[in-house]
Amino acid sequence: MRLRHLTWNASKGMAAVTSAGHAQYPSHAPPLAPRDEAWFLLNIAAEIEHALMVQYLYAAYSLDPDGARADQRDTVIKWRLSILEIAREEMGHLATVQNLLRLIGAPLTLERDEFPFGTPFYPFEFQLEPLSIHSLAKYVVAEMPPGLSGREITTIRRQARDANRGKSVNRVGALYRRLRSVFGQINATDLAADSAGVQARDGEWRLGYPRIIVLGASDKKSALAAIDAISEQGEGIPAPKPAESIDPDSHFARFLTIYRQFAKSRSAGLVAPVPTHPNLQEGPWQDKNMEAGRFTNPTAKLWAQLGNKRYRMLLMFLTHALHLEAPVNRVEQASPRGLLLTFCFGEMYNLRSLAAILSKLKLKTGGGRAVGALPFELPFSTRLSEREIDRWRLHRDLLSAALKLAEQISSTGSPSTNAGEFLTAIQATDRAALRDVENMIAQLAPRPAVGVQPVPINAAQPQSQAMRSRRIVDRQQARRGAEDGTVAHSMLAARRMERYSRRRSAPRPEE
Amino acid sequence: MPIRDILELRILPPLVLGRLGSSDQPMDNYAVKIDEPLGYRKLVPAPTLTVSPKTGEITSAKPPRAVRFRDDKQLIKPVSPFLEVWARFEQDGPLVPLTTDHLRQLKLSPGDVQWNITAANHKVFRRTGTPADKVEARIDALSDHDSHPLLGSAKNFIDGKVIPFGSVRYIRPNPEFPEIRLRFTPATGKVYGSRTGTRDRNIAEIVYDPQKGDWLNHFDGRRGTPPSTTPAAIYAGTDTADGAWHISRGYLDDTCSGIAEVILNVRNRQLSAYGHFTSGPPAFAPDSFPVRTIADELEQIAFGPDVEPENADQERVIDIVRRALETVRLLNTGVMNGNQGVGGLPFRDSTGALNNTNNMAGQDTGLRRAFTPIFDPAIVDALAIRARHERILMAVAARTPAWFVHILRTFDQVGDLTDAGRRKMPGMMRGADGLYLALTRRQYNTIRASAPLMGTLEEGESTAADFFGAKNGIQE
Repeated sequence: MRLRHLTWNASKGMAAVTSAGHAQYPSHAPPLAPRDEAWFLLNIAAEIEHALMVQYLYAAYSLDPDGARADQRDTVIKWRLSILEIAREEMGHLATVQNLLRLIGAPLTLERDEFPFGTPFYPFEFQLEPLSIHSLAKYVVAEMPPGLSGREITTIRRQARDANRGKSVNRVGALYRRLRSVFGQINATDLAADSAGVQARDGEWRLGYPRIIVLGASDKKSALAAIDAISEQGEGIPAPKPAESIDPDSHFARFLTIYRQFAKSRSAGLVAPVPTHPNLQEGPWQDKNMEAGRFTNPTAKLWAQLGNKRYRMLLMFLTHALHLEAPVNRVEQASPRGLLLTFCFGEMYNLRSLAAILSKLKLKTGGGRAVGALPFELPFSTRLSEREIDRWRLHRDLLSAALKLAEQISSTGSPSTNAGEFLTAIQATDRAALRDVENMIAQLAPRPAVGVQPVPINAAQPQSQAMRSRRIVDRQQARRGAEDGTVAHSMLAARRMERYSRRRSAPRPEE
Repeated sequence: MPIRDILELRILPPLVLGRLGSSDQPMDNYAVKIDEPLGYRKLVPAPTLTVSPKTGEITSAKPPRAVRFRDDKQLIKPVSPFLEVWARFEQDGPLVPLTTDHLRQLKLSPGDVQWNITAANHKVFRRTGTPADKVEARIDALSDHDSHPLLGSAKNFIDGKVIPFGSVRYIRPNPEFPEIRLRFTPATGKVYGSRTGTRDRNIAEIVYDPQKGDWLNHFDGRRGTPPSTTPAAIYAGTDTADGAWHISRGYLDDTCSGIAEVILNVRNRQLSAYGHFTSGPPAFAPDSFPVRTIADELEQIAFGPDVEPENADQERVIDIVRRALETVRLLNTGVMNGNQGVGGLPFRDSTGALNNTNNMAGQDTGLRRAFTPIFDPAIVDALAIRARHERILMAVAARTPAWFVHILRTFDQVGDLTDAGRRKMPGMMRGADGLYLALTRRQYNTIRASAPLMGTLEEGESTAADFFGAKNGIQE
């Protein structure tokens, strides 16, 4: 995100203390109209939630229950489960932020910062790193509600600052407070109440995870409720309640709990030696910190590339799904949105498995202590194509490339039984997914060029039936107005084609 | 080693399952293999005992060239299982199949083996409570090798009428196949009815006399009849106009279950053993196994519900998840979810009213739950559900610990009709009691044992105890 117009402001309504004792929120200079500023702030929020989710995932996967002492093992597993759950909830926040973007008619965004560039509006510098007392301090402060003080809090703030290269860690809640204030100024008529059909829905995301918040918004009131819910889950109190009311299930409280337990434990062996800043840069870095995280072990590099590919697929499945209408009830055949969300969740399972496999591989050729980890490198673009068919073509291309990469990894020999089984499994699901995607493309394929001679109706030539049927459907669509690019209509058309074909393939009485 | 005595007889397997079919050729044997990780199981021909209809001897044990469920006339082949007699000859010795050679050593012959067969269908009796509605067949002292029909009769039948339950045959042992066996061949799968005076094309034969018994026009809940089953009214019938009562059409079927008892007098002692047989409809998806089966129940009975973490077996978890995939693959999940406008939902009943009950969500309204689809309609179409289960299976097959244990329904949650409760797994399926299906406790614990602590952070569980270690959570 471009930062040249970013500035930091204080506001009367936000006298709450941040980590540095100042009330700060990012804003644009010169000031923007409320709806425009909401777009600006939501973009930042989306990037923050995405960045936090990835960093929390990385931290969770860095925990090593197998390396812990027997009496610590259960605790380490609980930490991991807790942080993973927080990461899932950040995903819910990300989805809710996308819904708010939809509400104001702004485009969705799945961008986020990548190291090594510092980003002033993030709570702290983006850094994939193994869990430590310092990284925990950062997470605690980022999620901290306003108004807290005391010796422990002061210590944690100092540790967070030290871990953030001397810069104060901003509270995520400050951004949402500003957002709340801005939303209150937007004209209600500027809100796209009819965007509910494409917004992410609670029932799509929360299966089995009751704490994940995915809220839709159709007006100002529901938008404010969504913003408050995100704040409350993070900080644990709806502003401006006193600190005594902190929700123990808030991100702040859970991170603080882990921080305290971690501080008391002997941390040796609890965290795997995963790198900070894992990366797949081809040549060596000048920066020694970045170089320390660079994959040089060729086998581990291949697996990390697979991890990047799956991450890209997850992002593209997600963004595509959020651009399709969610069928409220009428689902006569496959719901493309449902399929894409399923693919998206499947990639989450894949990333979990890949994290485990990478942790068993050395990062560097020649050994050393460091082991591999998911690099979570962003692809060159997370933008969607304009046309529906091209979106599905991208999925096809990504799946095909993933299959090729998996074959390449297979040919190098599997590092473990689990890894081999994972490769077999992922290739099986990718082949199945590829079939489904190619079906979608086939149904969306453009009609043949004008000038093709119509072929007599004949049961032996069902394709010509389909061509005639398509022309009829196209005429119907033209009568309805502009072509609707959504898959739902295209698939309905495909279904009509099929029915028409079957009827017409029966011989006529005179034949 | 020569034998001097038989200490114990046993029939193995102790329970055999037959399947109805109208072909005169029994179903061939087959094994089930998993060839493709996400594909259907492959049915592979397996050694099949072929019995000569004329002599009753087994003539071969070769596998068929191909697994076929229908004969050339497209009639379904019945699954006709064998019950084998096993014997123990020494104290603490093994059980071995009893053969003609063993009998000869004890100066006995196959003719000294006798069978008593009892078969019954008590479905109508269970409804009416009238003993005269018990349909039963019995064959005593069977020792020849002919095929004997099991003819079920009841006091409330029309005089002379029977329902054939199939047949049994004491297989004639020969040098190549000297074991002692009985074969049960189920019935053809017909529907029998009551005399009503009007023609009913569903019925193969009228057997029941409504002048004698009350099965025709019976309804569950009628005074003087046993308590309803749960679910109730699981018989062919017609609802009254107000929908309150389900009136029986007086049908009966030719399934049965029974006991085969083998008796052998050895050294002036009578030894006996028994095995169970039963029959049911054909398996129309033999390459897919349900997520919960009788085998799971029996395993729990045999080994108990608990599974210790040290006995965790990922292969068992993979098997359960694979069966979940195979189950959902056969379901019309969009309809079952209550998606409106799908599969004719809602439909108009005979009174013209909109009826939304022929789906899982609709059936919950009978328990006074408001009608809502169970899952978000966007994610329950068959393709998405199948794809999701494929991914879960593949993750588990790749040895990822079962992260989903906390969304499995436990046995004591089957009546939870909240959104969260209905969305637990297995989804959109009912147990025998009409409430939501849960895996057996042993299945659940098998999954849980493979993923320690995965179920820790469950719904409603809070970390408050950890957090409030200090006053108000924050130290000053």
